[in-house]
Amino acid sequence: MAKTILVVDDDPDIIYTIKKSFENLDTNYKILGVESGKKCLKLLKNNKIPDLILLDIMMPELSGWDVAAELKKNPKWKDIPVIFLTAKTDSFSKTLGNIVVDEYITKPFEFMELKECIDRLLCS
Amino acid sequence: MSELENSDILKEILKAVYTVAARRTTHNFAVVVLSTIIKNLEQRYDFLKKVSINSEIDSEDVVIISSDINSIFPSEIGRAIEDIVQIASMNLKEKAGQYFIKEIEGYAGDEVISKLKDCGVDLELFMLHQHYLYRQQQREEKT
Repeated sequence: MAKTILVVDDDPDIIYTIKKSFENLDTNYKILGVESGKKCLKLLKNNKIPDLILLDIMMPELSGWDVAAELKKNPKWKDIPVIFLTAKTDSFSKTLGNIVVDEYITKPFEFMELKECIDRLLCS
Repeated sequence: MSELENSDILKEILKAVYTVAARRTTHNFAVVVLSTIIKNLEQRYDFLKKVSINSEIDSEDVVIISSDINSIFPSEIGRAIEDIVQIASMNLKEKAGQYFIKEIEGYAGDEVISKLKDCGVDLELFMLHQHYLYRQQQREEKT
C-alpha cells in the first residue's frame, strides 16, 4: 500500500517539485501538499493522517515550529515522523529542531538525500 | 536571601534553556523542547519525573518542580543539569556554543551559576570540553 507524505510549505513550487520528483521515480509514495500550517492541522483533525510530514518552518500565520509543537503534544499525532525542510541554516535552529523532530534538512536540498531520509524513517 | 535549593537551581537552568529556545523558535516549540529533554533523561534521573512543564502562555512559571527534589544529592542534580545543557547545545558550532552558554549564564544569574559549581558543574569548563569535542569531530571528518 502506498505511503502518504504530506508536504507543508507556503511555496507551491516546493510542493510541485517534490511531487513531480517522486512521480518520476515511480516510488510507492503518495504526495499530498498544503500551503499552510493551519491547513495541515485541519487535515489531521479530519483524521487524514499521513505516514510522514515534510514541514517548512518559515510560514505566515502558523510557523513550522508551532505546527511541530502541536503534532508532538497530540497523542494521536506525536508518532508521525516529521522532517523540517527549511531555509533556516543557523546551528541554533538545527540543534533545537533536531531535539523535537526526526530530521532537519536545509534548502536548497538534494532530492535523493531527501528521499533516502524518508525511506529510512518509513522503514524503521 | 535564603539559600538556593536543588529545585531552585534546576528550575532556573530549565527556565534559562526555555528562554534561549523560545527566543529563537516560539513559546510552544520551546515548551516541547524542554518536555522532550526531560522525558529523554527521566530514565537516567528518576527525580526528573518531579518536573513538569506548564505550556500555558500567560503562566509566570513555565517550569514547576516538586520540593521532593531537594532531598537528592546535589552532585546528582549537577549531572542531570550537565546532560540537559549538553542535549540543548549539541551540535552548536564553536561561536554559537559559547554564545549559548553565555546566554544560559545570563538568564540563570550569578547566584545560580555559583551554586551550580557546588553541584560540580562549571558551564565554562563544559563549553571548553564541547569545543574540544567539536574540533576533534571536525579533524576526524577531514581525515
